[in-house]
Amino acid sequence: MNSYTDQNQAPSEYQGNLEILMQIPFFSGMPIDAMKLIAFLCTRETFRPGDYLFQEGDVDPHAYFFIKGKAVLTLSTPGDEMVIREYSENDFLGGLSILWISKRFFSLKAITDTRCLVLERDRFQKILDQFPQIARPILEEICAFIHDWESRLIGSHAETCPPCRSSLGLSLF
Amino acid sequence: MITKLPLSYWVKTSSMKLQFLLLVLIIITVGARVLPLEMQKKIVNQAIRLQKIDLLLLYCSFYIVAVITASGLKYVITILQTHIGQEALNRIRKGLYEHILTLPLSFFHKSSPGMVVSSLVTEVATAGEFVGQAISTPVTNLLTLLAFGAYMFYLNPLLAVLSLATYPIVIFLVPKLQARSNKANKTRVDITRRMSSKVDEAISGIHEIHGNNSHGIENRKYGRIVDELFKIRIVWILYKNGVKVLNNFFQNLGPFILFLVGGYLAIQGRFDLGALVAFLSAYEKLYDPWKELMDFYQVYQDANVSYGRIMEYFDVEPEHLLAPVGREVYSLNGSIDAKDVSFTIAGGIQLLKQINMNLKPGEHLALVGFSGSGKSTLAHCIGQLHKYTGGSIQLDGKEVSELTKKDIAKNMGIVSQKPFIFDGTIKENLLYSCEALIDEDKPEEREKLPDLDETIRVLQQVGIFVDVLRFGLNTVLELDRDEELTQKLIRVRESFQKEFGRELADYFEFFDERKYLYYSSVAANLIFGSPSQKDFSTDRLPENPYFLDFLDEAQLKMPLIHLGRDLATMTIDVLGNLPPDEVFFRQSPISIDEFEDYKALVGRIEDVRIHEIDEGDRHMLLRLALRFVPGVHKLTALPPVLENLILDGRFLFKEKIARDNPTAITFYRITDYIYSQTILDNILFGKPTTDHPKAQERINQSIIQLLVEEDLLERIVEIGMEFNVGTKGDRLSGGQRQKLAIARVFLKNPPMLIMDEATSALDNASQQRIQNLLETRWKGKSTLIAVVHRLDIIKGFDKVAVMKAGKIMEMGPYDELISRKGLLYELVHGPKSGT
Repeated sequence: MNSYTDQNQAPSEYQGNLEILMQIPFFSGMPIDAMKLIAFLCTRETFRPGDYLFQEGDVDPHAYFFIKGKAVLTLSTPGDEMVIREYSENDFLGGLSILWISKRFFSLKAITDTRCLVLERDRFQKILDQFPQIARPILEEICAFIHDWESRLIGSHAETCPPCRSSLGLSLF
Repeated sequence: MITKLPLSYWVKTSSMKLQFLLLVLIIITVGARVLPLEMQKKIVNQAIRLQKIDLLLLYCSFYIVAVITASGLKYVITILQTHIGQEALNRIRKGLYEHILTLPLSFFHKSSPGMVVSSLVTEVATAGEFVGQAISTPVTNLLTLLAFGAYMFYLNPLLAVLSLATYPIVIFLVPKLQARSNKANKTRVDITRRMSSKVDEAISGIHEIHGNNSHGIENRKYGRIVDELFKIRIVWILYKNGVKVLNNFFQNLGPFILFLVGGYLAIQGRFDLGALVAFLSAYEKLYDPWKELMDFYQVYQDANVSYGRIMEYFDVEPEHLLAPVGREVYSLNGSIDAKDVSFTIAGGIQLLKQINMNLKPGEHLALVGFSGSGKSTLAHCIGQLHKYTGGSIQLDGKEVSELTKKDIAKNMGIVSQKPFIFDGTIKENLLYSCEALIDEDKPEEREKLPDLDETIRVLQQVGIFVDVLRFGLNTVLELDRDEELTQKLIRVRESFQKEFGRELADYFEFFDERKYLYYSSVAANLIFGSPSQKDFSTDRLPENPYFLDFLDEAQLKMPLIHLGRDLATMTIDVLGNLPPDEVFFRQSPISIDEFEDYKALVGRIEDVRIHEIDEGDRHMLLRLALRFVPGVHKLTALPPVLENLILDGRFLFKEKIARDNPTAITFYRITDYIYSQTILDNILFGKPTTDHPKAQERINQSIIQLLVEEDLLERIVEIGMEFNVGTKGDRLSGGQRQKLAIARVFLKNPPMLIMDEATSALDNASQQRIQNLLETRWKGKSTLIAVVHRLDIIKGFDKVAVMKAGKIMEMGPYDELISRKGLLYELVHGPKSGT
């Protein structure tokens, strides 16, 4: 009789968000209720080529997941701008920014039409208040990240770059 | 001075014509009061005894005429009394307020607003009441008493003496009781004042109370005062009523004597019955004037107490004349000379000691130093806000203490640390200082008020232009206020779509009749316009039977109930067990208040077929669906089929309502101005799809650009200047208030400026902007004394004076003081190490 059954329903943005979140390691391992709430409180933002997602010195309280598009991460040095890397579809960044307040060291500029899933710190903190147990998988994820990062650093730099050696040891935190 | 005037002054100065009229009316009234007594006697003795109906009717008609006249006149007298009393109260209130405003600042440091308010509002009222009664009440009642008394003597002197014998006792006792009542009343007035100031203090400091959770402390403080008030009020009322009880008792003793003696005389046949009846009546009637006299006595005493208390409290001399007498207001050149200035306050505390300084016209001086070093005090002394107690301060060779307030106002602009913004529009506040200089009697001076261009220039200079523009854009224009303006705005709307439509497509959704609005509710999508009748406002539509019928006709009801069910189920699924936090509900179609109801609803309809849901629940689901905004409530997607149905419904509705109720809704048409919406909404003609600040910024810039092109910018700012800032300017931010206060002084363009940390609430950029302005536009033109807390902005001043413990320790150009490595050096670079 009527055509409004679940089969015919286009997935909502919330459902799309939920699917994306499940792929992001930072959020994986969370209970489904917390994940639902995150999916509900995320927003989607659009950036044009040339738009900055954030700039050096900004206190930017967001984490970003790239749904589509490309952006370039730069660091300004006296007189110049160094390109660090590019972010594109399925990349996630800014996890630390939703955990604590700090200034950005880098600038991130969209170079194509970009659409991101964005989670804001205050909202995430509210979610954290409700589901304190999600802090643990996040903590583990951060530890694993530091560990992998240092292991790569040792592999690539420790022998070739003597001055870098003094800054090693992050994983010993 | 008003505080020296006795209460009787207000009686003497009240309208003599009215008082005279009162007297005449009173005499007639007294006559009209005595006449019925005689009639009573005649009715009993002649009409009844002689059984003459015609006499009975005649006397009765005299009687009724007298009664009606007396009552009517009594009413007129009351009106006149009230008028006289209220007129006096009016004069007292105005005079007292005028006096209070001239009192020196030091007076207000020790008295609270609450106290002043209760004096002006409630306490003076009794004085007014008294003035109204002052002549008429005693005269009426004394005359009445005398007339009744004389009549009683005329009837029987012996009885008269006997029955009036109690009165002297009352007259002797009442003042004694009253004196005690007065004493209690005085204490009551004082405690009531303390209570007002306590409440006033608590409300002003409510943030501290919340911050410290000191509710208990404050409640105890207040409680103590209320307890005191409780005790004294009881004592006061006891005495007050004691007077009444005493009076009543003696009054009732009268008839006892009358019956005893009068009855005996009547039995003896020495006193006729009619006379006895008249005598009894006369005695009873004595009660009213007597009571009124007693009441009046109390009113007089109360008024005397509170009036005296008020006048005593405000009996302070103003320190300066308001306006010069016999000369024009000075125009000063801006030179400031201080010699050995000192300022000592009560208790012998010296706030300023031997201050010496001089500034040539146009020179800029920064006063720096630790807090409490006397910077602000010195600035206040120069600005005549405090009266220095020793030495001399001269402006252009004229002693500050000899100048009038008007001389200072004309030649000096003062921006205080916490500038005060008055309730009213931005424009009124901007022109406040200029307006005050205008003589009320010379309307032609109004032409000298700054014009729009000048006002706008100053708004730009102090950096509040964009804020005012925003107020203008957020204004809802009155219907047909300005045809030309709305036409231009529609042009701006068109160019906005044309020029920025594509660029802003990601941030913005324009109203387009053929397209679904993803950032508007289902209801708004259906009516596609701005409701002109209350019943068609989007929050009332679900209850509007006409609209519900339409939903049925358009076959939208069932699909919408389905949508509502999805929305409710999904929302409860995600938010079901969370605390009611605003953050969680921002994107929820269900509001915090309704959440429990919908939670229960979802529990009821789980696994129930849609046709089996009862009517009430269906209506709740429908209500939810009508407010569904796909762009915000992202839990559920809008099914494409429903989208098309709603678009069709939009056209059906437009036709239907055009037939049945054409004025209900103003449809969105690109060519029509929507009067129920703000100017900004009219230009945008759509809804932003994100609240991202960058998008907002871009939209703002586009609009300003278009307004400039249409030459509308100034017009909108002018409208923005009509924005009402609220009591104490509380609809403005702290920074906006400070900028407005600076703009207010700049507009006055005085030869001397005093800025007491005038930029403390501004961000760095705004502070720098004002500083640049002072250095480029004001240096050399107006002498400036700035109390400065932040040392990074003082380099541009001609001179810097460093203050410590009420003295100027060093003074000179910045570089010179720094190279001297004295106090300024220490302040800037921190204390010298090792010393």
